[in-house]
Amino acid sequence: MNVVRGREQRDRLRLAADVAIVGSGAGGAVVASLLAREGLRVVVLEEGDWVRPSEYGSMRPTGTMRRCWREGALAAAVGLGNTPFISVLQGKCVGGSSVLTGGVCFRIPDAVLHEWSHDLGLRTMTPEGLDLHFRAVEGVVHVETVPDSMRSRGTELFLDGAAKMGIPMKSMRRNTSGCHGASRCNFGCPHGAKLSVDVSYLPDACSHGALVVSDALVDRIDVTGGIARGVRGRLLDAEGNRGPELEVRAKLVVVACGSLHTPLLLRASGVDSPHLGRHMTLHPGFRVGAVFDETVEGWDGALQSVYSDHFAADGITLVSVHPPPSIIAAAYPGVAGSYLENVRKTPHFAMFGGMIHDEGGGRIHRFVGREPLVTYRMARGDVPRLLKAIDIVARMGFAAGAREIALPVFGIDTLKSERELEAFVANPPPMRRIECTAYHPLGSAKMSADPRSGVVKESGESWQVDNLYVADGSVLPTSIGVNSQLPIMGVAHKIATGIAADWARLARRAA
Amino acid sequence: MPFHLAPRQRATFRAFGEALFAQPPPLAGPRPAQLDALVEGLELHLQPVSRTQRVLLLLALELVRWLPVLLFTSVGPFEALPLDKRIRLLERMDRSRVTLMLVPFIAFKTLLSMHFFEDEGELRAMGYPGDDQRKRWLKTAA
Repeated sequence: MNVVRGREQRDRLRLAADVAIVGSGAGGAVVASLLAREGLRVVVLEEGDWVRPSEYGSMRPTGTMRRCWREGALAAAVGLGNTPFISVLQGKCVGGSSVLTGGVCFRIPDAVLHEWSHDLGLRTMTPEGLDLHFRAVEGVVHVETVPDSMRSRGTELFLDGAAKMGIPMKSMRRNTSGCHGASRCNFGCPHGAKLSVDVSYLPDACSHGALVVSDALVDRIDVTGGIARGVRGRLLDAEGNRGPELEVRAKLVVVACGSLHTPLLLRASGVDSPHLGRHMTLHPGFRVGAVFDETVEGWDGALQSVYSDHFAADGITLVSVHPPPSIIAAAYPGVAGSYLENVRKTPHFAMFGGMIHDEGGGRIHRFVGREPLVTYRMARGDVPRLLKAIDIVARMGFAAGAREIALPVFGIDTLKSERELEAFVANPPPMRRIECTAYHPLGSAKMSADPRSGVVKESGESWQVDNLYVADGSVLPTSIGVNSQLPIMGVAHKIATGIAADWARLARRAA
Repeated sequence: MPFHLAPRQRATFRAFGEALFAQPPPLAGPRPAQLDALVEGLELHLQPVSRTQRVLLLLALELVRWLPVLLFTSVGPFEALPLDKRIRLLERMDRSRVTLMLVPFIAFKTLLSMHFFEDEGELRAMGYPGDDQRKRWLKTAA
């Protein structure tokens, strides 16, 4: 792959291109590939390091966190009011968060697209309008159904519990080829089986002439006469310190640095909208553990293999999950002896999770330094939704024969019976005690049908600055209730297709 | 310039880890070498973290350090407490309704545990056979 590592540059880097793309994740990589294939000169700028896929297998989970995750996986949204403190996990490496996903691929649900096209007036955001884009993306990243044989024993047990409760489950689709069931997709696939964009779209873009620059921090977009003309920033050294200047002159700029940083970059570049940095949804997710008498060894199998949309009308999606043992161990309740006693149950431990289709309430604020302050106020309807989801998964565990259930609640012991669960449900703790994680921040620079309602047009172009596009999760106008990797790729593909179709006019405008 | 923890910060992290992973007798708690490795791991982990986030985390560590004084349980810092008192203080933080006590506990427990249980010996002690011995991988290889 054609990568210039910023940390190895000693001098100022000045480049000229047709298109400068800020961010190399699910959105930026798709745009880069499509436009490079159209013969445009494309430069992709990534703030994080370039970690070669061959290195993933040699890194322990904490090593991947240090090298590939933003803030070493310590970033969080500060809960306001009755809201949990939510860990927000984002990639910061060539390939972005696609390197860290479980590989789960859902299209945007029809009901969500119906809301976008009918209620929000986004006429082309329909299942039919996006179908060809999803099909194209699914082909490149090899979206396939997870075979039953790849389900871990832990997942089978929860499936058994779900069946007893009349909850249907479905096999997931993931962007994999030759998965060995290492169950550590979130830390980079050790077998190269997950087709994240660093092993799919970016190499393709580079083979068509694109250049990727890692360790490249973009400070602002150059805007002259209301038209984006390029970007400026700094190259970073191995410790993340600002180094030589970086400048890319381009006819068009695509911002794809994710929902947390896209609003900051747009604002720093003079884009102003009351919607910028607001309306962010997170899909707050949780995990419930279950201890069985039998040896489960839940680590043997795909990290994620099944899901249920049975409660979609309630805004709940249930998903199987089983992270590596050292990560699971960190989540057990207790201190000292009681904690280690729980840790020793790991081989008997199964895990299942869920997430809610939240109504929003996230905001991005500029803060001291480079990282934003993220706040999140859980909507009133989301609180019972989250508690209901936890209750359902815990009941699935008991129905499967678990002797103990570990709820995602800080400071409480494992539950030993359904009666204890009922007591918990009847008297839930404050939301601050709930352990929540978010992998899908969306909507902080949302798409809209008119300039008063959002930050970008349906085409992805800024309402305020010509030749400035946004192509990442921040443009999705509402929460989608499913994993966001494929939706971001599909929407980015649509945006890139529009740019390619309109290139002659866009290039003339920039001249 | 690479980031380094101050000696007092290393001492607090070490004391936190020693209490978090302590075992009732006759079982042995973490070895001194393990605790040293744990602190090295944390120092490394904080390297790529933004300065702001790092400052916030280290302020939270300072809070843990002086919690015995703030709670009127001791006149010395956290690391000066005997092991059983440190364990009791961590348990109190774990069950606290006060965000300022709960959040630092969760953050440091998570961070320390992820590093501690990556140790091959600890993984085997918890029943994980090791990557090369996993049944599905062996089956795939066969």
